[in-house]
Amino acid sequence: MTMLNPVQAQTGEKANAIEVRDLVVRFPVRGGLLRREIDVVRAVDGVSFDVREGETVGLVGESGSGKTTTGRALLGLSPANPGSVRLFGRSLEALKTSGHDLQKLGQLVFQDPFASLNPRLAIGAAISEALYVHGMKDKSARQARMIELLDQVGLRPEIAARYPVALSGGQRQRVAIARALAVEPRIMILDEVVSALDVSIQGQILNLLMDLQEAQNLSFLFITHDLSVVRYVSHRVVVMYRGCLMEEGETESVFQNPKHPYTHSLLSAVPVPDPVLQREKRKKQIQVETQNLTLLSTGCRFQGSCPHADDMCRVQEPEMREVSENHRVACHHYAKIPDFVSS
Amino acid sequence: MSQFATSPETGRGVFVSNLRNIATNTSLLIGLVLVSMVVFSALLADFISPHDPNFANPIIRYLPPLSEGYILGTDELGRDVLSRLIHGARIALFVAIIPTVISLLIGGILGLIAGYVGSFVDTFVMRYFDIMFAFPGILLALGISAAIGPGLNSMIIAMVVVTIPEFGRIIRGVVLGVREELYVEAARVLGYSHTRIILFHILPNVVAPALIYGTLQTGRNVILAASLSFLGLGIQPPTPDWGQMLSGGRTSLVMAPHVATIPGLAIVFLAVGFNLLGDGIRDLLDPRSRQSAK
Repeated sequence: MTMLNPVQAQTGEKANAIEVRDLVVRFPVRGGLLRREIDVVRAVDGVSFDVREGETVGLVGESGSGKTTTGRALLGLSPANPGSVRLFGRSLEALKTSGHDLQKLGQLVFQDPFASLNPRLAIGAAISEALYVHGMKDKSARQARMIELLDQVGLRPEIAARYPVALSGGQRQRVAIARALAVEPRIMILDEVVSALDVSIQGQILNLLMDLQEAQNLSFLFITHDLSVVRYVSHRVVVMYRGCLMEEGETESVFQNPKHPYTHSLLSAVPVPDPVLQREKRKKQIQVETQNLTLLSTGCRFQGSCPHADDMCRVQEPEMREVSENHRVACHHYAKIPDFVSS
Repeated sequence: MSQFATSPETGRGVFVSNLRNIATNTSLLIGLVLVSMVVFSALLADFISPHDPNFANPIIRYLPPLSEGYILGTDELGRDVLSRLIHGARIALFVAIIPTVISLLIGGILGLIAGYVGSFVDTFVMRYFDIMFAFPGILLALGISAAIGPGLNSMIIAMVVVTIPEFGRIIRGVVLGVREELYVEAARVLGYSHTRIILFHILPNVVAPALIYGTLQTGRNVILAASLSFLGLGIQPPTPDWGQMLSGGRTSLVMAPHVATIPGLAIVFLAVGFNLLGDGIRDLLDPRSRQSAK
């Protein structure tokens, strides 16, 4: 990149791009005549992890596990507890109040490329607008940079005159990425960016993202439920369940040697392209129950669905503990659990 | 900055297909014809009206329609009904369109703020609208006109006050929906200012419904204005006005029914014209209602 933004100049190499410490996001449940707070949903409950500069961390979990909320909280879009998020050493609260610093550091790409682009804005205008807001007032410079950005995401300049309706899903997602890049962020939160695309396009977008990361030293938080995608792009994986971390570690370590029973069940839920094996597998699968999130029970969150749960699990919430280098798990019985055999 | 706000609706491709739609849109065409007839007679009133609208000739009071020189007859003071009708078109259009524009602006801004800001601002504005809605429109307008004294200005003020909540509600509803669109949230993530988001990302969505309901409300305003004038709270004599003509002919309904009937028909004519025009614009701009209509 040609321009170094001020924040970039200050920090050293291999710093923590994202530092999350005990993040809590609570949504009040209001009811009754006066809309009083009658209950609280703890969408994210005490999550801590880091994303190093130039690294991709995959954040996985089932629907409702709080992964999207966590991603949004990193950019101040969910009501998080103060002081829990630092981007390149600067707290979210400080970043929010200092101009466009937060946007310059972190950008979010949404899951649905059909809804995240204004249907009334031509592609070129949408990208130019981001450039304009972020200080590029000269029209011809903006035009040149816009073409450059389109080129970076593998789109031809002719597309600038088109409207989102005339583009395919993959093209739209490329536009959304180009628009985020216009701000020249150092962190990108990628919220299910390939889930809405078909498989052949998914691969293209993932390769594009990895190329961009290499060229611009971007840090990615890759939120998804698709485990094969995570394995393909992430350096490290963070597994979430009901607002809490279950397991965290190097991608291959987690995939080949998962410690947490929940990770086991996630991995065994990946379908096998063989109907006979798949039927065998389904018999062994753990049925993860969906339970009311507002219910504040004690102990491990996974106890209801865990085949290894005992009295300790019902009383005491397990802490994250190191099982091997760079591999941590929140389970009392991780040592007793048989190794995961991938079918 | 305006290059960001180019809307596909004004783009050439859509415009051409819109032209094709106009040709098959009967309610739009009929509405357009009715309204433009009134507009033309208002513009050319001085040239096409056969007599001075205020010249009273007591000798020829209550001439029936189709009398020689007086196609639509004369009224209770011997004035030419046709001439008064043509000149009355000016006032009729003025008091239908001007209050609509003013209340669309005020109501639109209130609705935009209420919908975008939400929370207590929204509650406050909406409760105010609810209070206004609780009164029947004509009664409220009557009260306001009576309070500040009759006349053109007070009539316009009364009509604006009555119609602000209608526009406010509609615009707020649209804004509420658009605010939750992902592209508006994307704009926030990109660090766009509230002004930019409102002007370039939300406002373009408001234009179509504002145009549709503005036209429909203009039709209703024709009736409302005529009612106020009929009750003596609007346009004062001798200015030719349809509502007031109706009121003047009221006493002679049995002896000379044309004096009241003709301005009444004119009011219906213009109101129906605006309503058809509004329906036609809606069919043009809102493809969903077009589908359900056919």
